[in-house]
Amino acid sequence: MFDPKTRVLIIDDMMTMRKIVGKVCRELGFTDITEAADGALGWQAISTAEKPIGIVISDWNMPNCTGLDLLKRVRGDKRFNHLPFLLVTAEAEKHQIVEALQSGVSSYIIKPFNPETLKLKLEEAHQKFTAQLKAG
Amino acid sequence: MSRPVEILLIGVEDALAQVVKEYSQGATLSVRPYEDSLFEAPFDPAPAILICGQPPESISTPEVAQGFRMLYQAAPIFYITSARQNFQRAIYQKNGFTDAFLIPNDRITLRDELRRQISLASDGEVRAFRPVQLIDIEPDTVLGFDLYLHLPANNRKIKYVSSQDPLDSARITKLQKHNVKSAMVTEDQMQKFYQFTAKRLKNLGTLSATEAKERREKAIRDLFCGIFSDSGEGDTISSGRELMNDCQEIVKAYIVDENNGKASWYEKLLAASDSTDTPYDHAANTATFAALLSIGLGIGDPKEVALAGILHDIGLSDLDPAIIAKDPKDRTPAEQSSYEKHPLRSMDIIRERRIVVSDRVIKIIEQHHESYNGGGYPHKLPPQRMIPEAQILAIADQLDEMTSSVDNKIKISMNEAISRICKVGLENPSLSRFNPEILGRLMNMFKVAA
Repeated sequence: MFDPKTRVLIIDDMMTMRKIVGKVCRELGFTDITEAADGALGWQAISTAEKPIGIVISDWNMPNCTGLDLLKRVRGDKRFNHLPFLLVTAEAEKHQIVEALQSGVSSYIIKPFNPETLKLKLEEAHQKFTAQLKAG
Repeated sequence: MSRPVEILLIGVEDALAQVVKEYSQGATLSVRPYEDSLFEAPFDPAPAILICGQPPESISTPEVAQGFRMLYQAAPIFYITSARQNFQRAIYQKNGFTDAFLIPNDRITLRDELRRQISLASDGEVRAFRPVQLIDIEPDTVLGFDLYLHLPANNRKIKYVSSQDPLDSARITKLQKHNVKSAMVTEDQMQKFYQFTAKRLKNLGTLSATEAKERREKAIRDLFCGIFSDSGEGDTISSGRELMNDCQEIVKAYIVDENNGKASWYEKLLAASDSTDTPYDHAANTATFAALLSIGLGIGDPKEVALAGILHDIGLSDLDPAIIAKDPKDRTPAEQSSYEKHPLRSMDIIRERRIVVSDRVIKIIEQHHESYNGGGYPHKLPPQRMIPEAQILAIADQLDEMTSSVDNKIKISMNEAISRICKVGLENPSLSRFNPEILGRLMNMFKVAA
């Protein structure tokens, strides 16, 4: 599992949802949590952060730059090829998952979710991340 | 008893909070507006039941559902609204709400669900009791449900007779001395009460004509008397609605039994009438009043009259709601003319949707706005061509119109409404909308002065 000191970036245009996901992350032991209100601001946070972002948990449906747009941008930059990236979707958007998987999402999670589900998804993302690092 | 069941209402408008309050006996309610802090610092311990109203524009209803579900994973979380537009129960449930209620349509479902949840949350300590009106009880009758008496002096309920024990004459006499609200049945046994009452009403049909007439009239009078009584007390609306609902359930039980217990087409039609713009409550209430009047006065077949009651205004669904809402005096001649065609349109819709009803039902619907004075619509029929069941439906239609509540306030009581209808009709029979002979019988049945 990820080191609890790993820096987590939560991206959602709904402040309330950022708070709730942040709370769930804290319940899982993460202490370094930062937030962004849309994909564009999320990219700014990822690409300019002094302390590197270790996990991205991004909502799908956001104005300006969607979660999928951001994922493509992240994966298009060699520096963030392996950055663990979780997409959060609503039930209505889950049919779009295939495109997200093709674009290199580490895992996806459907709202509403509980801490156990997020933990499982993070483990899944962590395994992928470790395997990718080993494969070089 | 352990700590009371707490219900937290978030962003629920006053009128809807009042509805919740009506159905939350045994629980404490607190009301909060939508605010960010609700999502940042969840309540600990979590409220037993959470009820959310329409959220502000900055957050969508599914997002509210997702948010609260993530914060309170095991709690029952409901959504309540009166906004029909974009109401999507299935989507709300998928996003985390336990259920969603559109008021007034889902009022009864909300009531039942709240009672169930309150009982669950209190580990059965809060038992939901309902006041009931027993009709036509004979000595040594076995009720089939436990009957309780409410003792107001110490606010206790005692079991008066068990479901399998006969109710002897001494106990019946004692019961009759008590106020109507004293006899109570637990929520989980209400279906048995409905079935019992429906059966009693049917049994009246097997008696000799004279005996049956008197007992039938008394039974219906007793059933009607509690609905929107004159007391004006705070709980009148609530108890009146409950009694109205009880009457609906009794009529349902009466009709289902006629069909040998098969799935009730009556219930299905009640549900289907909700999909039109015809107000559901009005169709259901009118059908119930009409069926009970039919039973009480011995006019027509209660099943047919009830069915006509559900369908009578289905033709209004094609009309501009603005025209329907207008006072008839304010409608243009063209608007009034199109409004007056709604009985014919109801008949057309019944045929288009291939709803199987008898010719008699069609005729009741067609004639429900005809007047005894010959000035009704759509055909301006003379009285000799009008069928009596159509007059029963017309009276039921007017009774619901006169007694329905507006802004949670009673317009007038049932007795007052019946008295006014009879007075207007009997003062000048040649100008009356209703047949004076039927009005006379109605007056006798309810023992009201015109």
